[in-house]
Amino acid sequence: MCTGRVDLSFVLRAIANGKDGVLIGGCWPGECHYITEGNYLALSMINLSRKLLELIGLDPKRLRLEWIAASEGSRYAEVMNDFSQTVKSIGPLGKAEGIDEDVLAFRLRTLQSMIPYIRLVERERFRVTTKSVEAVEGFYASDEFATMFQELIADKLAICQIMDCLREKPRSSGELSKMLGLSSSEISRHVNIATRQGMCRFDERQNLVAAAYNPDADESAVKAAAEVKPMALGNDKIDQIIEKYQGNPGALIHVLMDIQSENQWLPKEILTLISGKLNVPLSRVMQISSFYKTFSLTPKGRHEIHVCNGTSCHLRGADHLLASVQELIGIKPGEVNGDSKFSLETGNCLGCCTLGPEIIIDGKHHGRISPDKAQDLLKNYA
Amino acid sequence: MPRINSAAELDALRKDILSRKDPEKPAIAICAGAGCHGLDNGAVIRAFQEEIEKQGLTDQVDVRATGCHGMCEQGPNVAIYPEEIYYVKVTPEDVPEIVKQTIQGKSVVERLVYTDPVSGEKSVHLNEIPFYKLQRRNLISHNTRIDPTNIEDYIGNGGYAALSKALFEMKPEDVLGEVKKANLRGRGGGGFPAGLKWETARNAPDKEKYVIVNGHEGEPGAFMDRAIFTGNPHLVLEGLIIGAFAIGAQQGFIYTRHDSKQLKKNIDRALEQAREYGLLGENILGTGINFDVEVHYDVGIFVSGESSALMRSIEGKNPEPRPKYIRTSVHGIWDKPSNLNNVETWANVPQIIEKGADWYAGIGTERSKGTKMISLSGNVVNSGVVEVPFGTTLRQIIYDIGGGAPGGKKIKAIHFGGAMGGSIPESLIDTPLDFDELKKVGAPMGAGALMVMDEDTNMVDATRFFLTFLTNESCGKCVPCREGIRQLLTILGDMCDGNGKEGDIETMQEIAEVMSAASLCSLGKTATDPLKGTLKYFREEYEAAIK
Repeated sequence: MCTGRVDLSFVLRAIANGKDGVLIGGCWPGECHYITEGNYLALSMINLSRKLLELIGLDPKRLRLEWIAASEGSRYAEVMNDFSQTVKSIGPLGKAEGIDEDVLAFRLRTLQSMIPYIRLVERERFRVTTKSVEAVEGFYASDEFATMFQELIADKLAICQIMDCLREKPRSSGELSKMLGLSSSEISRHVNIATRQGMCRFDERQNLVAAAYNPDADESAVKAAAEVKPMALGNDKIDQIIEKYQGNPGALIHVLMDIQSENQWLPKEILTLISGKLNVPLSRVMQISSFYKTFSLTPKGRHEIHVCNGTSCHLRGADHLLASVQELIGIKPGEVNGDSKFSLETGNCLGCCTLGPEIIIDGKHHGRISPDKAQDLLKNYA
Repeated sequence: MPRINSAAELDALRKDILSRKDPEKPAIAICAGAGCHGLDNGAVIRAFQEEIEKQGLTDQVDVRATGCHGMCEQGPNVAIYPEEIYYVKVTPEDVPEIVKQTIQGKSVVERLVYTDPVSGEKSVHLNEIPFYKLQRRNLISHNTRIDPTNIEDYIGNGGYAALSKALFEMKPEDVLGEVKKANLRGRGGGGFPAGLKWETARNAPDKEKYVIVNGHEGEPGAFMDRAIFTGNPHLVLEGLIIGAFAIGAQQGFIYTRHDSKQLKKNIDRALEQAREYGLLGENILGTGINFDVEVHYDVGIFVSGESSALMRSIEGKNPEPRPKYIRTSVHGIWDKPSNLNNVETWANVPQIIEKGADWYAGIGTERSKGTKMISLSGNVVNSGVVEVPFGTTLRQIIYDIGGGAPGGKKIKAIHFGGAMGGSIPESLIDTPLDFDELKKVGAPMGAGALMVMDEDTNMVDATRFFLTFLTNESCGKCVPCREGIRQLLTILGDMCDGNGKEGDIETMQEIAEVMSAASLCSLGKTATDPLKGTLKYFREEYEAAIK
């Protein structure tokens, strides 16, 4: 069969079955007997697969593509010997890389579930039309590919892994961080995206995230997940707020503002509720709530840190202060740390320009904070 | 309090308020402005209240949390009346001493008075401090004398006299005539004559008209509007009611910041009290005129300070600006004539009506009349809210009032007008404060945020900073602004990272020109002003970034 027929799923299945290495051998480029020239597709697939192996922590050298024509018997022998040598020197799958067996199985399972999506991305974004080895290799080594791979595959894989963990049972972002070996900043970023898209629910009281939809769950899992919901949901105050503005044509912004100040953020579940109660299409609720900066569609920590980035604060060194705060709590602006203690935002001028650089925690202003003073300040918050 | 039903009743109330007040009664005015708030003035206010109670002085001394005094750099500030003794950098620990020495003992606590950092001279009273002495504080001086949450303080201080004069002694067209004659120009940035705008709205055919206070103040580095609005909300409200009377509006809107609790609270309280006293709502002062006000909030986006965008926001939509040929004075909120002015513009109205256009026109320069509040900040010794007559030079503001750059550093540039303003070099520091003069040199005043940049400032980086702000704040409706800023930022980013290329400056200039010509609203049109200004005056820094 043509090397071009070797699908990503074949490679991953071999690895998932515990094989230590995969070698694909086939016709030399430019020597296709037909006009399909599938070996360029194989080259593309191999490059991508190696990146995927690397992504889940495996040595990409376990996978190799070699050009061996049917007449090259001695070359076949050479390659085989060399490859088995390589695989031996790498060591047994997973163990050599220091990954636990069940962790590896989990990672492979998630990756395998993404294969149809990855195929689509490969076809739409990574397909190199020039039939040359250099062009294909060059593309996979480029920064352009690296960026796309990160955004389209690595980030998605992380979210899939998070969702798989969450389907077992609701977990805190700190737990997820430990389980997946990702920093709390990364976990927070992914959970933010998943929450916004309505894939999971964030419960700020219990600091738990649960999968919003889980078709395979048993009864107890469904029950556990149902316990996890945004604080504002089922809160009478929401009804009262909506009631207050009934009939006012410009009410949507007021309602969102009041709920935001009540709940600190606007979970998708609440937006759906508002849409129904005010009889405004959800698309418009989303339009308004995603446009205005005060509205947060992502969860907040127990303490909201706000580093002012107005002109005056900037001139007085706000960026150093921000860097120091980021380092102290391990998250970037827009994120929540592992135990939901802090969330960080940068913001525009709050008019206390005389006090720059300024930091606002839970609405309390702290002026003239030098980067080294930030630690003492944050110590006061539990 | 029964509502007031005529001019005579208002006068009677004022007399009554004044007769109940002993001018010799000591009063402690603690600044509760935004700046002092960040320096924990709350603890100072509490300490004063507790100490006064402890000493059994509750009936003999007034303690009030006031609006911004102005000299934020030295906060928390405390003014002691009737002498107007002024203490700076007051901590809760100083409070017992102040009460004992100054309130009870009538002597001055020397260590808390302002000391000039250069001459070492001490200034005991508010008006002796150079920062205050050199200003002309027509608007903001009331802040120290009134409690913003008490309408009687405002009325006792002469408040609502202008409204009464307008309603009982003048016709709407006379009010309009005075404002036109005073040549009051919009303080929000454009400098457009307020009288002309009012006239357009007044003459618009629709019967239903609106007046709006733009208290958005999203310009980074601007904080004078909230200083006056928080510290003296009735002043703005009085101006608004007079404006509504002149224009014939029955509904007003206040559009202001959502992120300042104090501001929200004071405005709500002011509206509530004004309604209670019959100054707002139905049958104002018994004249049969109806006018009420609704409060809306900015929800944290800069472009909603633009007038047409602001009106969309009040309608509950996304704040996307409209082309300027549709005048909001004729087709504004829900397509009705809507007259929008900035907080400071409205705050100027009562004094014009009370003291007359001739008095007002006597202050300032030929084409810019009255006083202007400036938010002075950045690399300057005395940052804070400054109010000076038009015509004052920037040198006077920055050196005489502001005390120059800290640490004896040289001043490199003066930036006016926030992210869409312009930077001028120190050599132009003798330019007078004037709408047209400043525009001519390339630092249009905007709302009045004056940023001092010292010699350590990198102008290319500063420009990048402004554009980063604007790219986040652009509403994205029109392409030149949305994409133009992005491209400029890519180039500037490369320059700042040492990857500038030959031809970058020219590319940026071209993008800037297209943006100014093709953008829909002034955000896009003027987004490149800082770039153009710095290219004009600090081109060598860009060239250095390329080599």
